[in-house]
Parts: sequence; structure tokens; C-alpha cells
Amino acid sequence: MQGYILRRLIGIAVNMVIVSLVIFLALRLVPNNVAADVLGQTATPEQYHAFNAKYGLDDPAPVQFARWLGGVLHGDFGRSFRTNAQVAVEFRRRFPITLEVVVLSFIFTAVMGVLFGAISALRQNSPLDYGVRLFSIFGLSVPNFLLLTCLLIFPARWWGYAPRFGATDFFKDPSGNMQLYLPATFTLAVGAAATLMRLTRSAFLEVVRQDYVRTARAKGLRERAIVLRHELRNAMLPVLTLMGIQLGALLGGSIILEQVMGLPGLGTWALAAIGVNDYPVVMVVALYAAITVMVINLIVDLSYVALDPRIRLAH
Amino acid sequence: MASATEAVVLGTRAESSDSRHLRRILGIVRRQPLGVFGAIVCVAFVVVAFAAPLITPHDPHIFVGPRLGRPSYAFPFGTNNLGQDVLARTIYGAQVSLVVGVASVLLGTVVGSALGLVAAYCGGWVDSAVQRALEVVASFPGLMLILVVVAALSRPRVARDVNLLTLTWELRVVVIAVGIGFIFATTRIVRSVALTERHAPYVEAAIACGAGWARIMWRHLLPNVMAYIIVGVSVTLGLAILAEASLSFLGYGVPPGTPAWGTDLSGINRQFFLQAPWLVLAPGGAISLTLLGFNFLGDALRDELDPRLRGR
Amino acid sequence: MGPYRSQTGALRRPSRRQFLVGGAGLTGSAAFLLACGGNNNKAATNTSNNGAAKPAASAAGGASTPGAASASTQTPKKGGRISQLAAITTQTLNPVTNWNEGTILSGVSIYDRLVSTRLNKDSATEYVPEAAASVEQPDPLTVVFKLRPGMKYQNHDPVNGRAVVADDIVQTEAYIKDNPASQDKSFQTLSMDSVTAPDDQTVTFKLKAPNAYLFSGTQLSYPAGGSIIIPKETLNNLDQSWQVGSGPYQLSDFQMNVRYLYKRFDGYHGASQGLPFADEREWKIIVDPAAQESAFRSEQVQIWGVPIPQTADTVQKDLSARINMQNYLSLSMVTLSFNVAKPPWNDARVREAMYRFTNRQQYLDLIESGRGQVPPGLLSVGLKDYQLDPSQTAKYWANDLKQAKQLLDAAGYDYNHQVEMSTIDGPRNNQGMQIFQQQAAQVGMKVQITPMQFAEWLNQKILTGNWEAWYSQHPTYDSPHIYLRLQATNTYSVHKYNGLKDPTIDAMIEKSEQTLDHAARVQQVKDIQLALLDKYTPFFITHNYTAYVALWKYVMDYEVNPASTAEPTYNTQMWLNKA
Repeated sequence: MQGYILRRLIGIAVNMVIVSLVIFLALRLVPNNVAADVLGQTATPEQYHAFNAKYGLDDPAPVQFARWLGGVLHGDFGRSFRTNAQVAVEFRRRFPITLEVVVLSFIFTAVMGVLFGAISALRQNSPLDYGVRLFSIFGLSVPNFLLLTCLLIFPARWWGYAPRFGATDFFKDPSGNMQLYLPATFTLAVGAAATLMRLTRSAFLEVVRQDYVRTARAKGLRERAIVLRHELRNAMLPVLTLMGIQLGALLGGSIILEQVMGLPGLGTWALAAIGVNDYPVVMVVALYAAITVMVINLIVDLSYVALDPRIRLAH
Repeated sequence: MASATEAVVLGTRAESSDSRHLRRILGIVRRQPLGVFGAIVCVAFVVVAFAAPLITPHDPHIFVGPRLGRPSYAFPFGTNNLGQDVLARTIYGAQVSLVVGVASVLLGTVVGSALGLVAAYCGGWVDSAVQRALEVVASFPGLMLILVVVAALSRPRVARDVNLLTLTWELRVVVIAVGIGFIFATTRIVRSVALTERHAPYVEAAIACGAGWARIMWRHLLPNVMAYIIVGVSVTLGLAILAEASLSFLGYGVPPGTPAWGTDLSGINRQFFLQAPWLVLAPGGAISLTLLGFNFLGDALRDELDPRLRGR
Repeated sequence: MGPYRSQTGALRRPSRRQFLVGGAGLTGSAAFLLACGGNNNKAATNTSNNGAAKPAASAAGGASTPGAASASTQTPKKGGRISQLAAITTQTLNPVTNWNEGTILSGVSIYDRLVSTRLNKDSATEYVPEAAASVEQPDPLTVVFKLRPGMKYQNHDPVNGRAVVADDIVQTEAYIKDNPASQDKSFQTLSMDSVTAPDDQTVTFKLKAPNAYLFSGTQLSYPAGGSIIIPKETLNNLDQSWQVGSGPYQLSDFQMNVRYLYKRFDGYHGASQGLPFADEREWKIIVDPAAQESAFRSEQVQIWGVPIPQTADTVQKDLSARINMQNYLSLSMVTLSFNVAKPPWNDARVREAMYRFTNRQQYLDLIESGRGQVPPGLLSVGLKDYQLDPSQTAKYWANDLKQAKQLLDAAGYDYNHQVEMSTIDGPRNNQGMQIFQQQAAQVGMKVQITPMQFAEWLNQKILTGNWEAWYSQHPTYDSPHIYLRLQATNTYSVHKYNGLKDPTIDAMIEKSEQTLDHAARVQQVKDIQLALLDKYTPFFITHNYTAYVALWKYVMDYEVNPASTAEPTYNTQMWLNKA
């Protein structure tokens, strides 16, 4: 078990290097004169040279990459070309916002998805089941940016209410923070929850018909025990996989939420940086996202083992 | 009305192939009403996109009507702030969605299947390399990957009044950006299915008989993964359309002015949300209906092609 | 502050400006300032009587006045926080190299300057001494400023509240001149010969030539350059270090492109008059118009430059009892521009054809719902003195598609060519590009449109010269200076490639800049416009729009910031009439 985790962690580290190399190459593919971007066209050749020397932009790409990587290993993520601000400082400032968006919307997704999916399967063809299925159809077919726009526009027009703009620190102002995040993350979660609901529902229906559930029922086990011990456990395998994927996807969804709500998170930061090839920023956000996704995958794989002893960790 | 199983039991061999097909279709219609609805929507979507120049009453670019005109007989979906016909823009918007959807899914499926098959067949370092590459791609959250690719390759420019082929060429960057994510998904599925088939006795036998690798892949592995590919395609098409719309909404997709659903839902049209709801309802409804269609179709195909996964 | 209260027709409360003009022994020099300042400036006391029956007011319907009227009769209350919206992005904290930082944020709040421009609703300009106790111009090539005694900087490292000295201004001017990224240094490079500090309280500018626009918002009054006062020890690290100035507010907290909070600075030169009235000024950066509207409706911000007129109408209708919707004819030019350095736009026939198919009224009608004006000549309608008579220019603007086609044919125009039109992404610009695309299509000209982020557009298109056409809104300019300069071969601006670049016209432009006599210069500027039109200049204004500003009713004495387009406020006299 420990050996397996160690191997996976090493794999993640190797992937990180490849990921950063890929982004580096991708963003450097476009021939763009960063010095001209920052200094403007009226700069003298000496000033360009000084700028390039300062950021090491005259060096060959491999050297630049090696230097960047070396810096990262020492905890130095460099400075944004545009703002010249320390990337690490700005990251720390923006990270909690994106984290809150992702965590809250994931909780909404997971709770709504699994709970309603399971209930809908257990009460198949009841009005509740139809309600859940209708909701999931709605969630699947309405783009989240449209829902978020509605959230922004209608309450403001009708009641003069809008989520608090600009980030509000949870620890300084919990109610203001929740006013901002709860409605927005719920809205973002609708689409993901819809997919999860459908999968949970079908996974439960699948499991309900399995022999061991029938056996358990025949043995006279109480319904709750059957649902919790047998059905939930087995139905969770595909559900967990999807939840892992969705958690990664919510990192992307956070870009849209932050953009619509004007939140200063990592998503809007990356979006602005992408437009101007500010690669120290893009790389850090992409690396963060990649690490998150890979760690999630590892956790999902590990929880398989916890849920189903038949799965072994060996290759 | 006989179901498919009944048809077999009753010895349908005797029947003409025409009526056999009809019975099958009727059986599917009965089992999968939503899937049929989905299929109709999808077909309608494709037809509308191709026939856009024939069925639109107005040019989507020209300022034909009053500004922010209500839906009327002349303009069933109303007009926008520049006096363009919203119906025409919604119809033409299907073109961008279709092009990005089909081309990116095609890219993802073809490249992904090929990679998956090669990885499964060759094994060894090829398999490892493919796996590693996929892990890297997969570690980007979808939208982030698309944005980075678009940023690296520059944003699309779209001219007015172009045919579908030209449009596809102009949207190549979006297609590649959206398609790369699908390569990963397809490869993973195809590889795992092909891997089980690769060691199946009949494939081993074919290798023993000296069949070439191309032949083995084409004749033995590909047919076995086809079902998975087909199901994957219908689901990912919906995702591709949504991805393009999100990209346009974020301002990295097609430029304003080009009729596209995502673009028409962003920018100034959102300012008229309450004054002129038709501006939002038309493209929004079009996206929603199309997504719904592809989702239903995907479910139905999955049920028909792989009963184990049936959603009931 | 005359502008809005001018609607009441009465000025009860002594304004700071009146105090300065009347009380500080400045009458003579201030009058001189106003006299030589350039365009259609009026003396401060006249301005308030000038408000009636102007085009802007009539175009807008004047529904906004009652709140403003009640405002002017009350004694200002001190305290409170004024929150405002801005749809801007900045790259650094440097007010000299960042347009928005200089003209909207720190440049007008944290840093003080020698003189500033005030602009009223009718685009009449006034020049106000700020940190200057007196201004003298012994000859046309010399300007001498005496600083107010006792001015101090804010108490923050590395300045620590030391006194403001004349050498700070000398160093700042040198910094602006030498910095390659200065947003506008036309004064420092084109006009200024030298700047010296004979003693700690005196600054002497020597000019290369007489400067007709010396005190205008693009020269000494330019907030992001001009005569801004920055402590010299911070000049080497303005991009990142904490902003320290001697202006009305000091930096309290900020997150770039998200939120900026400024708190009152008690050492400000206007503090003895109680300025600034508001304790805190907050800027919230919200780019999305739908989000902006929600933020205003939910009262998270109190002042909002409404992006489109229809939105102004609905917000006004919904909240009429609680807000004021003000409007004025903006000086901001919305322009079409083509790169004459490249074919086909170097061919006068192609440009003439473009004039023939361009219907400027359609831009105004579709983008602004007809609210605004189309200038007869090439300058913003608000620059009244310099306007040409419509009869003089009608022939240039005449629409004739047939003739346009003939001209294009004669020029051998390649109809397969895709004109590449770019702009800064935004509702006004994007719609304008579509209108051009549509009008050009009438004669078979194909146009591709590309909206970009500001930095991307500036760096990839405008700075490189690698562009063909653009449609965009400009900042407001209070004199013809910048617009005409942009037509010259040497624009002294980052926008190098805008206009016609004709040597004869270059000479005319240069001469007008040096003509101090107002009447003579007006005639020259009119002649330049006609000469430009005669050559079908590729850089012209499609329209001037009516700008809307929404304010919650308790926001009093709001004033336009002449240098800014969408976020028009620079004022220490604004106050909140609520507990």
C-alpha cells in the first residue's frame, strides 16, 4: 500500500515536470516580444536589453525553463511579466477564493447528486423519482453561465439583491461570505449534480438487482442495513470515479463562476494572463490545477480499495 | 407489436428484411421514446445547420428590422439591438456548434481510437508513453486546457458569409482545443477494451497465422470497440457544443457578430435580458435543446449497444 | 464642481475654486491661466451660468436634475465611504505608465499636481491651481509655479511625511520623460525644454516653443503625467512600491484589478477647507456590465457610469425615487482608424470610397439609441469653438454607394481582401465593428472583426504597426491637441499609426500648437480639419455619445473627470448626504 502510494506520488511529480514543460512550450510557441509588450515601442534597444537580461529572456528556451523549474523547486514562482508582482504572493491571495468555490460547489454536487440519485432509485417511478429526473434533465441542458447570469440579474432587478462583489473573507465576515458563495456555487453545481444524479440512480438500480442484495434481503436484513452496507458500497464505485472527474471539472467551472461574478480567484487571474501570454502566471495556475486533478485521481483509486476488497493495488 | 426478442422467437427469418428492420425500429421506438426524441433533435440540428442559407428568411448579419423588435410574424424570434433577425442568427449559430462539435469529436475519436489501438496492440514502451501523455492532458481541467490551447494558437477569426468548409478551417483552433480533451477520453476507453480483446484467443490465433498488425487492428480490434466509440461520440458531441459556447462566452471563441449561440448569449445581449428576453431565450433554448437531444440519444445508444450499462 | 450644480442656476456654497481664486491672491494668475489655456474655457464663475439649453442637456431629457438641485443648497457633510465602479485593468501601481492607474485611481486620489482641469457638462474647461500657490508666465516660453507652503507627503516608508519640495517635481518630470512606458509624455518630449527648481518652493518650466494647450488635460493638467508630484525617493520603484503622495487620499488597502481603498489624508493641501469631504473612497473593479448593474442596484456601489443608454433608462425607471441619472455629451471620441502605412488605405480613392459608404448617423442610432451627436468636422462636438459649419463638410460625408463602388474599382481594390478590424473588447466597440462590417458589405468590401483585451490589443496591434483597421472609443480630450497630433507623422504617442501623415498638414498642426491667440488658432484648427477631410483622412470620429452616470441620491456634488471615459469622477468635494 505504501509502496503503491509512493510510486503514484513519484509519477505525479514526473507528470508535473512534463505538464510545465508542455505549457512552457505552448506559450512560447507564439513569437511575442514580451519586452515590447511591457516597455512599449518607444523604448531604446538598451532598455529592451536590460529588460530581457533582468528576466533572462535572451537565454535559449531550455535554459529559461530550467531556471524556472529550479526556482519553483526553491519555492520561487517568479514574477508576472505584466504586473511584476510576485506570483506566489498573488496566488496565496487568490487561492482561498477558488478553493472555496470548488469545495462548496463540490459539496453541493456530491450531496445533491448522491442523495437524490439514491432516493430516486430506491423510490423508482414515484413522483420524487420523476422530479429528480426532470431536474437532472434541466441541469444537463442549461449551460452554467446562463444560470449564473440569471442569478446575477433577476434578484438584483426584483429585490435589489446581488451577491457581494469582490471577495469577502469567510473569517472576517461569514454571513457576507456565504451570501456571495452559497447561491453562486449552488448554481454552478446544478449541472454537475445532474450528471451525478443520473449515474447514482442507475448504479443503484443496477446493484439492487444483484444476487447478493437479494440474498441479504432473503436473510431478513433490515432495509437500512441493506442500503447502507450492500447497495451504497457497491454503487459507489462508478459514482466515485465520476465525482473525481467532476471535481477536476469544477476547477474549470470556477473560471466561469469567477468571471460572471467578478471574483478575484485563480480562474480570472489565469484568464487574464492567458490573453497576454503572461506565462509565469498561467503555469502556476495550470500546475496547481494539474496537481489537484492528479491527487484527486489518487484518492479515488485508493478509495476503490477501501470500498471493494476485490480490487488490488498491484499493477 | 412484437419486441425484438419476440421477433427472434417467432422465427423472423421468414420475413422480408424490410419488415424485420421496421420491427426493430418500432421496438426501439417503444423502448427508447426519449432516445428517439433525441435522435430527431440531433437530425434536425444537423439539417438546420446545413440548410441554414436555404431556410433563413434573412441574412443573419444584415440589419433588417427595428432595434429590439418583439417577436412578430416577420421576425418570429424578434430582433436584436442592431436590428438583426434573431431567428436567422439562431439558425446560423447551429453551424458553428455543428462544426466545432463534429470536427472536434471526429478529431478526438479518430486520433484517440488510433492511439488506443496502437497502445493496446504494441504494449511496452509505446503503451507507457501514450499513457503518460494522456495523464498529462487529463490533468488539465477541461476549460483550462481549451483556453491554454487557444491562447497558444491564437483566437479564431471568422469572415462573413462563408460556407461550412471554410468555417471549419477558420475554427480550426477551437476544434483542436476542444478535441484534445476528447482524445484522452477516447484513448482510455478504446485502449482498455482493445487490451482485453488483444489477448482473446481469436486474436492470438490470427497473430499465430501471421496476420499483419494493421489487419489485426482493422479486422479484429476495431469492430470490438466500435460500440463504445459510438456511445462516446453522441455524449461528447453535446460536451463539445457546450465547450464552444463557454469559450465564446468567455470571449475566446468566435468574434462578436458571427452568429454563434455562445457569443449571442454573452456581451451586450445580456444587458437586454429583461427588456428583450428573446435575445437570450433563442440561443439559450437552442443550446439547451441540442444538449438535451444529444444526451437522450447517447443514453439510448448506450442502452441499445451495451445492455449492461442500461440506465432504465 | 460647477458642472452639475450649474443646473440649479445658483451657486450658494463657496466652492474650493472660488476660495482659491478669490482668497489666495491668485486672481491675476488664475485669470491668466484661464485666458491662455486654450479652447473654449470660461472663467469659473461664468461656467455655472452657461449650463442652460446646451445640446447635451436637451438630448438627454434632463430628467436628472432634482437631486442635484437639492444637493447644492446644503452644507456638505463630512465622513462616509464612497464606493465606485470601474471596468478597468491595470498592470502595475505606476500612475505614469498605467493609463487607468493615473487617470482613475492613484493619479487623481493619492498624488497631487500643480494644476488640474475641470470640465463641466458642456465641455467647458477650467484650469485650477492645486499644489500651486501662484502661476506666472513672464514670457511665452517660461512658466513659474510657486508651491503652497507647508505641503507634506503621506506618512509611509520611504517618504515618512517629509515636506513637498520643488525638486520632486523636477525629478518626476525627468522620470516621465525618460520612461519608455510613459502613457503620454507629449508635454515632456515635445514642449518642455527644461524644468528647474531655483528653490524648494519654485518650479520653472522652459518651453521649446509657445504651447497653446499648455494647461490642458493633455499637457500640464494630465493626471497621469503632466504636473503630477511624486516623491523622488519612490521614483525608482513606482511599479511595485506602496503609493505615497501628497494628494487628498492615502492608500489603505488594495488588490490589483479587484478593489482599491483610499482613506483621507489630513495633510492634503485642501484639508483646511475640510477637503476631502468623504473619509474613504473605494473602487470596485467589475468588468462585466450585467454584474455592474447588479452591483449598483444592490447599492454595493453608489456611482456607476452606465455603459448603454437603454440600461440607463431601465435603471432610471426602476429606481427613479432613489437615484439620479445624470447625463452629458461626452467628449470621448469614438473613431474609425485605418493604417495609411499599408495598402489599400494608402490610396486616397479607397479612403474616399470608405467615406461614401460610411453612414455615421447609423453608428449613433444603433449603438447609442441616437443619443449623442455626429460632429460636422473631425473634432468632438464638445469642442464648440473649433466646430466646422455642416455646410462646409457635407460633401465629404455624403453617402453614395454607387460612387463608392466606382472609386474602389478605379483603385483596383481587391474584393477578396479581408479587412482586419480589431478593437478593445466591449459593447460599444464590438457593435461599431459590426456596423462597419455591414456598411462595407454594401459595396462588397469584406471585413473580419477581432475584439481583444486592452493590453493584447495595444501590444500586438497598435504598438507593432501590424494592424489594418480599428474601431474604438477614446479617452476624453479637452482640447483638439491630441486628436490633431494623432494625425501627424510624429504623434508623440504610443498610437503612432493613426492618421494621415502628410508633411503639409504636419506643419499646419505644429503651427497651431504654437499659436497662442485663441481666434487665430481656432481658424487654423478649422483649416486643418478641412485639409484632412480633403485628403480623406483615415482617422475620424463616427459620433460623440451621451454618457450616463447613475448615482444614489445621497451622493452630492459629483463631478466629471475630464480625463476619464467611463468612470468620470475626480473630486474631493463629493460627499454623502446620509447618516
